[in-house]
Amino acid sequence: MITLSDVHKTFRARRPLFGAKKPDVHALNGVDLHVQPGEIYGVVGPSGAGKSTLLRSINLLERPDRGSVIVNDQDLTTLSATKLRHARHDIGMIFQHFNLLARSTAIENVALPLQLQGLSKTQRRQRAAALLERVGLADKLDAYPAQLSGGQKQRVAIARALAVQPKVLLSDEATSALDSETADEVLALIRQLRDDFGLTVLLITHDPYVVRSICDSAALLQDGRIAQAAALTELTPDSPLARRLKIATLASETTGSTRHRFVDVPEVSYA
Amino acid sequence: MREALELATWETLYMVGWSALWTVVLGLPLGVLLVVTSRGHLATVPALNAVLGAIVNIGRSLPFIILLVAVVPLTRTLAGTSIGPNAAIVPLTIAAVPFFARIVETSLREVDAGLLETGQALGASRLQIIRKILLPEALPGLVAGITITVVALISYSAMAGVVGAGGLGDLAVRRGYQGYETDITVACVIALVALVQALQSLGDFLARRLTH
Repeated sequence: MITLSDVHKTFRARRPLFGAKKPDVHALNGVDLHVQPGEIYGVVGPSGAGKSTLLRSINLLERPDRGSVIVNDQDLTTLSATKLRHARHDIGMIFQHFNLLARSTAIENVALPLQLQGLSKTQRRQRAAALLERVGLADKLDAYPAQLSGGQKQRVAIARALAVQPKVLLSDEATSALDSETADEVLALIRQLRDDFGLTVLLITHDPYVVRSICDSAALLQDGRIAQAAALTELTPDSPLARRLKIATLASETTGSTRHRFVDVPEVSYA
Repeated sequence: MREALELATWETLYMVGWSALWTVVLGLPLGVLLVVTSRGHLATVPALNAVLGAIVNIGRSLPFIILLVAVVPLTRTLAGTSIGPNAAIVPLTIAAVPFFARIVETSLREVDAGLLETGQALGASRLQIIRKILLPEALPGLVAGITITVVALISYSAMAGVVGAGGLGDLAVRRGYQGYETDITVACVIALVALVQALQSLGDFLARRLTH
């Protein structure tokens, strides 16, 4: 569903007025990544590894300097501006800080992408209301973001991302700003929506727990390269990715699903 | 005196009203351009940005009284006359457009870059991002900016007497000050204070209503 081949991205430092020029940042150094249709795929890695750039290169918010980005059998790097905008309708995106319009209500936020596509006002309201109901916010249609909790805001953002029925959902640390209970609810919702709509989900996170709880496959990004990529069921405990994910033992359950056991990180007590 | 005051008030409102309208019509797009053509924004064109910035700075650095007489030829072309309230609208607008454009620029820069990115991710065109995200999100700031600009225009309009445009400022100077009718000066000042207060309150009220 998503295939990145040899993707490079360098951020060139601008020559400052005073002082020495800072070095260029090689955010992505030949990334190869393959995400199967219907899969929830997590990319982890230390901060500064290029996770955010990787995610943004999938819908070309960051245009790679080199390499191809194939989403839904289409190489996005070769598309014209108009065709790229159309291709983006098939790629929903959610963010750590939700990025809702503060001056629009929940339903207006969800209706925005529908409005961009030129749907009539009644159609927009109908679809947006149905989506908000789907994410459990039927009673919050006319609430402004400031009146919603973090988890509720992310639900609105998810509804907005799914409004134009994308095939792919990109998640940029979507649960990182939420408390653990709320994060669990949002993760469960994402998995549920994947199951219902057959979405392909690619998420980046610094939190191993997110990957352990909902991902089918994962990749470790280090210094702008994929150091290891594997389905979680096939992960050996001594591999770098498993260490990153803090997975000690793995066992496929009898259902053959990708659920797995892991050892919880022990609680640190400062008493 | 009452008649003179009433007439002057209308002249002031007429000049300020029309020039405020033109200022928004011209200054809003200019402010949008100043933002979106800047580095790292929606439509980066550094050269155009530098030129627009320079034009705005020139406009803002000219003292209004000099601008008022300097643009007389242009005023004659646009307004068909170089004296009277209509003639004042041209220099007032020219003075206020760069001022308002800078305020628009500041308000739009307040909009979180994440929202622009969201617009792009949703497949919005640049024009759609400006119309559906940038301007609506900045609306309270824009309304406050219009209020500041109108108040500045009232202040500028006091000098419009130079081109025979009348207004409260002109009445206060010509009859009040030069004609030794202190009560007229006092009345004009009171009228101006009341006008500014009323406009500021209205602007504040609207900006508050628009904030969520």
